[in-house]
Amino acid sequence: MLAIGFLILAVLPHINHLRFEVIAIFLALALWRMLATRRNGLPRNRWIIYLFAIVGFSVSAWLYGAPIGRDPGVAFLLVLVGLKCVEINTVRDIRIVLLLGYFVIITHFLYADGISWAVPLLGLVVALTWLMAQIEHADPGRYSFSDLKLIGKMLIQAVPFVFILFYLFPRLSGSVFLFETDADTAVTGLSDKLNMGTISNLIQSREVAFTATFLGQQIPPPSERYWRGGVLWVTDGRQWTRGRFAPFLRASPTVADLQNQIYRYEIELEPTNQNWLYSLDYPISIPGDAQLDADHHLYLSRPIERPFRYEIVSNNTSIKEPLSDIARWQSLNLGGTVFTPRLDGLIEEITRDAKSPRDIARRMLKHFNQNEFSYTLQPPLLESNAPVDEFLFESRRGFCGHYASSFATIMRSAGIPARIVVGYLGGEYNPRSNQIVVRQSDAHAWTEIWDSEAGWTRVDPTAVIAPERIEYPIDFDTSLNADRVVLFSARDFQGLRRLGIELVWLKDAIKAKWNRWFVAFDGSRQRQLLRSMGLGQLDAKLVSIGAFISALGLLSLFSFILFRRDQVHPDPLDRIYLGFCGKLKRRGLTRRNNEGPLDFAHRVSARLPGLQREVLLITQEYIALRYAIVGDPGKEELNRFRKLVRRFRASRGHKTAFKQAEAPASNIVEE
Amino acid sequence: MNNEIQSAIDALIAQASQVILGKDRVIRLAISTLLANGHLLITDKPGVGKTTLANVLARLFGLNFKRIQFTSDLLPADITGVTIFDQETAAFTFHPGPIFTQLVLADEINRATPKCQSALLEAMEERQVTIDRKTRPLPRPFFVIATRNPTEQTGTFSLPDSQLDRFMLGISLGYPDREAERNMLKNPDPRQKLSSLRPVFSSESLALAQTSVAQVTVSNKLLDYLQAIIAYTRHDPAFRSGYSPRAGMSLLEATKAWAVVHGRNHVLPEDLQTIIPYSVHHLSAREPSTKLESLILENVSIP
Repeated sequence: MLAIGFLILAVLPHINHLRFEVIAIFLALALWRMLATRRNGLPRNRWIIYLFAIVGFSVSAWLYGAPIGRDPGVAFLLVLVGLKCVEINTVRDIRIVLLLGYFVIITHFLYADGISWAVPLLGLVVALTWLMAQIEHADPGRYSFSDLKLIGKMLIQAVPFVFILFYLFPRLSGSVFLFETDADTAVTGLSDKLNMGTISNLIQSREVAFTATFLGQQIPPPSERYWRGGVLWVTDGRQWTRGRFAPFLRASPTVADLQNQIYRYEIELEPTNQNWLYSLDYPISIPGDAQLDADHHLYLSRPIERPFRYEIVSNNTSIKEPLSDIARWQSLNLGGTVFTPRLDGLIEEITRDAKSPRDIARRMLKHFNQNEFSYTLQPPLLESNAPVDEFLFESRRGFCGHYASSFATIMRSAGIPARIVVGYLGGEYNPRSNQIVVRQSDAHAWTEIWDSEAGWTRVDPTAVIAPERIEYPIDFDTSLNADRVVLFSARDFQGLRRLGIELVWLKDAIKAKWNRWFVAFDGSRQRQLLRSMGLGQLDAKLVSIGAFISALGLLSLFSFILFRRDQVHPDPLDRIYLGFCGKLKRRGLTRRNNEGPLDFAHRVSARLPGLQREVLLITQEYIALRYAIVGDPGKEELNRFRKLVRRFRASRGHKTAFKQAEAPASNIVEE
Repeated sequence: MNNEIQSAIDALIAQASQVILGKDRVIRLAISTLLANGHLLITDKPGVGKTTLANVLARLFGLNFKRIQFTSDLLPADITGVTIFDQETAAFTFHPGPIFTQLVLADEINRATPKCQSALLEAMEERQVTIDRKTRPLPRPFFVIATRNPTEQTGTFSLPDSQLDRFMLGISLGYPDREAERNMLKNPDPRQKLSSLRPVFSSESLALAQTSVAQVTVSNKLLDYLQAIIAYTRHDPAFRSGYSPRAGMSLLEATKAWAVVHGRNHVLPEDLQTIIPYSVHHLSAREPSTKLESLILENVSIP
C-alpha cells in the first residue's frame, strides 16, 4: 500500500530524536500491514489489535513516562498511527491514516524548523494529497498522475488562507501547545567559560550563529566586525568566567556620540539556550526586553530557545566611563594564577620604563609577533598547573583563547585592568540580502584593557600572530573555509569558487528570509506587522475575529466565483421556464438537473393529473421556443410564453377534477 | 416535415413489429441508424433474431441484401471480391464480393481476423472498395449491420476501438418478453411472415427521409448540452477515452434521426438521453464494470 509507504517516509526522520524502540514498533506494525495485503494475513480478531495496543503503549510509557511533552507525545502518536495501519479495511480507514500522516508531518516541526526540512515535507504533503485524490477515484490500485495538477491548484488556493491564519491568528508566546522543549537539547554556541580549548570545537562548526541585517547603507568594515557576547572578568589561572559581580556593573545605555559611525541592524539569533545577545561593539540602543551591563554585555532574562530577532544600534567607538573601584579590583584580580620565574621575568621586561599601559600592551604584542608563536586549532594540551607559563614559553601554539587569556593575565600582572570578551569576529557579508552571516566558526575571544585616557580599549592579541605562521588545520583543506578561519587572509575568489560563494550567499539569504517571516514570527513580530498595517491599536481578540471573518469571507468569495463560473446564466426564456419549475417545486415536484422538459412534464402529469393539460401546453411552448429554433426566441414569443407561465397556478392542480386531458400525442416521445 | 415520409416511417415500424415481436425500441433505433446513414452494431447471443432484423429492414427499405458470415478463416477477398483471368475474353475480370450490395449483414464480425475486419472498415467509412489498386464505389445507399458475439465468448477477436467508432449505434436485442415469446412459440416460422412483407420505402423516398433528417432543427441549447456531454466524457477520470469528434457527430445524427422517427423536426434533450446508451461503444471506461451511460446522464445537467 502506497499510503503506508508514504507514512513510513513521514515517520523515518524521527529516528534522529525518538527512541528506536518506538520507531521499531511503528515500522513493525506498518510493515505487517503491507505484507498482509498480499497474503491476506490480517488479524481477524480484534483482541489481537488490543493486545498490540497495550504492548505499544506500555513500551512508550516505559520509555517516556506519561504522554506529556514533546517526545512522549510524538511517540504515542506513532504507536497509534501504526495500530491504525493494521486496522485498514475500508477506504475510510485509508483516509484516516492519510490524515494522520499530515499530523505526523507536522510533528517534525516540533524538532526542526529549517527550510531544508520544510521542502521535503512539503513534497510529502503533496504526495499524501495526491494519494487522497487517488482513493477518491473509482478504482483504487491503479495510480494516475493526472491529479497532480489539481492538487497543485488546491494547494495554491490554500495559500491565502494559510497566510491570513499564520500572520493574523493570535500568537501564543511561549511553547507550542503542550510540547515543552526538552531541556537536554544540545545547541551549539559560545560558553560563558573560557578554557584554553573550548572555542576550538566551536570553530569547526559551520552552523550559522546569527544573521545581521543592516538597515542603513553602512556596513562595518571587516576590522570593526567584533560581535560582542560576554565579558569575562574572573580567572582562576586556567579558566575565565563572567563572575558574580558583573551584574552589579549595570549601567544605562550610553548616549550616542554622533561623530562616530553608527550602525543600525537587526539580528536573527539562532537558539543558544543561553541568554546572551550579540551586538557590534558597542551597543547604544537595545531591544526593549534586553538588559545591558556597563561592560556592554547584552542579555535577556531568559534563555533563547527559539530563533530570536532583535533590532539594535551600535556605535563603533567606546565612550570613556569612570572605572568603579569594584570593577578595578575585579579587573586586576589574578585569582589562582601560578607565576613562575620566567613569567615574572617577562612581566618585568615589558613593564620596565613603560610610559603608559598602551606602551606595555604594545610590547607584549610585539613579543607575540616576534617570537615563534603560531596559530592552530589543534594546540597541544596545557596540563601543567601553570598553563599561562606553559603556553608562553613552551608550546607557543594556540588560538584566540590562548592568546587572549595569556595576554589578559600578563596585563593584569603588570597592573593594567584587563578583561576578556568572547563573541564572534568577522562574518561574511552577503550582498544579496545586505546581511552579515556569522557562523560558529567565527567564534573569537579578545581582550580589553583599561587606559586612563581612552577608557576600555580593545586589544586583539591573536591578530598580531604573523600570518605565515598560521597552521592550516586538516579540516579546512578548502580555502573557501580556511578564509573564514584565517582572519587575516585576503579574499580573492574567482571562477567556480566565486560561484560557490554566491550559492552560499543565496542559500543564507533564503534561510534568513525564512527565519524572519516564518520561524521567528512571534507575538511581538505580529504586533509589529499589524502596526505597519495601521492596526496597532486593535487588541488581539479583535484581530483574531477579524482574521477569522476575513478568511471565511475569502473562502466564500472564492467558492462563489468558482461556482458562478460553472453556472451558465439563464437567458430570459430559461428564466421564465425556471419560474414555471419553481411553481411546481412548491408542489413538491423538483425538476432534476438532467431531466429534459418533456420528461419532467410527463412526471408532473402523472403526479398531478389535473395540471396535465396546462403543463404539457407550457412545456410544448417552451420546447418550441427552445429546441425547435436554432437561436433565441423573439420578444413577442417570449411575452406570450411569460403570460402563459404567469397564469399558471400550480396549486390549482388538486382542486381540478381528473379529466382525461387530450394530450397532443404526435409531439411526445413515446415509451 | 413531409407527411408522406412520416406515414411511411409509421408503416415501417408497424410492419417490422409484426415480424420482430416486442422489440419496438430496437426497431426504431435500427431505422434511425439507416435514416441517419449510419452503420449498426448488434451485440448479442446467437438466436435472438439479429438476422431476422436485418432481413426485415432490407425488405422494408427495398434494399439488396447480402449476408457475410465471418469466420476465422475468412479472407478479405471473400468480402470485397476477386479479379480472375477469363480465358474466353483473355482479360482480367472483376468478380465483386458480397459487399457490393446495399445492405450487408456482417454476421459475427468478431470471429474474423483483424485483416478482414479492416477490409470491412474501408467500405464502411469510404463507401468504396479498393481492389488491385482500383477503387470501386459501392452502391448507394450502403449500410452495414454487423453482429458480434459478446467478447467473453471463446474464439473471438475483439474489435479495435477505431472500428467500433465507425458504427453509429450499438444495440443488443435481448430476450423477448413473455408475451412476445409466447407468440413466437405459437407461430414458429418467421420466414413466412418475412416473405409477406412489401417494401415501404423506395430509394427515392429513402433519400427524401434522409434529407429530412439532415434538416432537423438543432438548437444552440441542445448543442450546449451535447458539448457538455462530450466534454464530460473526455475529462471525467472514470473514462479512459471520451467521444471522438466523429463519434460526437454521429451521436447527433442518430439523435436527429430518432427525432424524425418520432415525428419531430427538432431535437429534444430527451432524444439525446435516449440515444446515449446506444452510443457508449464509442467510449471506454477505466473500470470495465462502470455504467458509462448512467454516469453521463446523471452528471451532466441540461443547460
